[in-house]
Amino acid sequence: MNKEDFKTAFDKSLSYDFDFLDNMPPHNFSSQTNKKINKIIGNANKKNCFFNILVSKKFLAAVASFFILLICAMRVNAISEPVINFINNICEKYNLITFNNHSNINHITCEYSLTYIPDNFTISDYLKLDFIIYSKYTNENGDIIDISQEIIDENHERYLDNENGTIEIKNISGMDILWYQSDFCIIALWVQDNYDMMLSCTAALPDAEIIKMIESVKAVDNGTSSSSASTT
Amino acid sequence: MLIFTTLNLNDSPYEYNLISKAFETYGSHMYNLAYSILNNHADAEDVVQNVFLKITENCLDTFVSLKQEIRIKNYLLIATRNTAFNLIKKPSHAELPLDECEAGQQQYPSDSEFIDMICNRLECDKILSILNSLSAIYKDPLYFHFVIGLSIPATAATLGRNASTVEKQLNRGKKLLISKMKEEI
Repeated sequence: MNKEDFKTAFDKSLSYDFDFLDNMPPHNFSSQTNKKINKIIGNANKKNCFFNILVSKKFLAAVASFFILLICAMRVNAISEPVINFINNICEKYNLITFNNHSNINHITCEYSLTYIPDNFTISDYLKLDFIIYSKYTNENGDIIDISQEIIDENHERYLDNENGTIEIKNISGMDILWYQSDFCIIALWVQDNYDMMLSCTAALPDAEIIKMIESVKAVDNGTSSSSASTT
Repeated sequence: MLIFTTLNLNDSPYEYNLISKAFETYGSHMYNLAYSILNNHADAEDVVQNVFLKITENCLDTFVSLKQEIRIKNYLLIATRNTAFNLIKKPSHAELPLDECEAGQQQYPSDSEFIDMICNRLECDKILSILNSLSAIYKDPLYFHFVIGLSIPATAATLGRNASTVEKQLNRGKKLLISKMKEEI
């Protein structure tokens, strides 16, 4: 594979995300929006010509650096809120899950893991990086249970498709769990210590089994963290 | 759809025509995507405007150099999706200086090392399945940086994220892709 093949694969992968837009009706923009967009494009054109003639890129870079330094000098650090929790933003086709605070850690210091797995499931995949830990369990029918633990930092977010399933918030052992259910899978999302935990299951298991798994999540390393129920 | 009353198209440079064409061709897609997220007509139109504003302010050269239609479409739609999500999100925290990122603490491959590792070890169908499994948090910045060719600050401006955040997400995205690639081999 060469570099261009890599780019083409990336193009394809992303275009899948937007396939549904091809079947949607065309939109007639308001005359106001049309005018504004014409203005944006026209201004850019004028600005471009002016800059090309009058100033060199080096001069622009020096001016930009000066302003960046000025802005940095004037910056005041934000005060972090002590509570970490998620915000469920409901859109027409998506739910956007954002987190109202982020931790200052750069790597996972405490690993959480399922201590209860339904019968016949065995671990088939395990990935541990500094910012994500992922475990996958499968059974002989090809059903999958997977759980991921990711650190929450700025811009950490998740999208859930709400067209093909329902989303609700359940309280399980004192934790707020975002519960997504469709014909094909159940996804549970919650915040545990500084981590975004996501459990998904494609097997036709009763809700009680999923809840049992969530409750079974425990810290497995360092011995620094306690059991699963400690959360927001 | 567009009526150009005040500008003479015949005298307009290539950039002008290309952006106008992009708006005519993909404006509806962008609007529909933004509307599906925001469920508000005015906000969705604002998002489309903002995307073009960001392009003309930050990445005009890169945008006009895109040759493939799929790349122009993906560029516009990723920018639209992120701009729409940014509208409904919390106000962002103050930007961390770049040196407070993960620099020096962890080792990540350089951009060229990363591309070499991926291209030398993987077949096309494998990389496609790996990319499909990647979260949008990492996929969007990786696409802008490695496929479109935007710099980190330009990627950050287009996605409405901080440069330090984008740098971190790029490093993590690279690491995640390499780990998944090692599993595949």
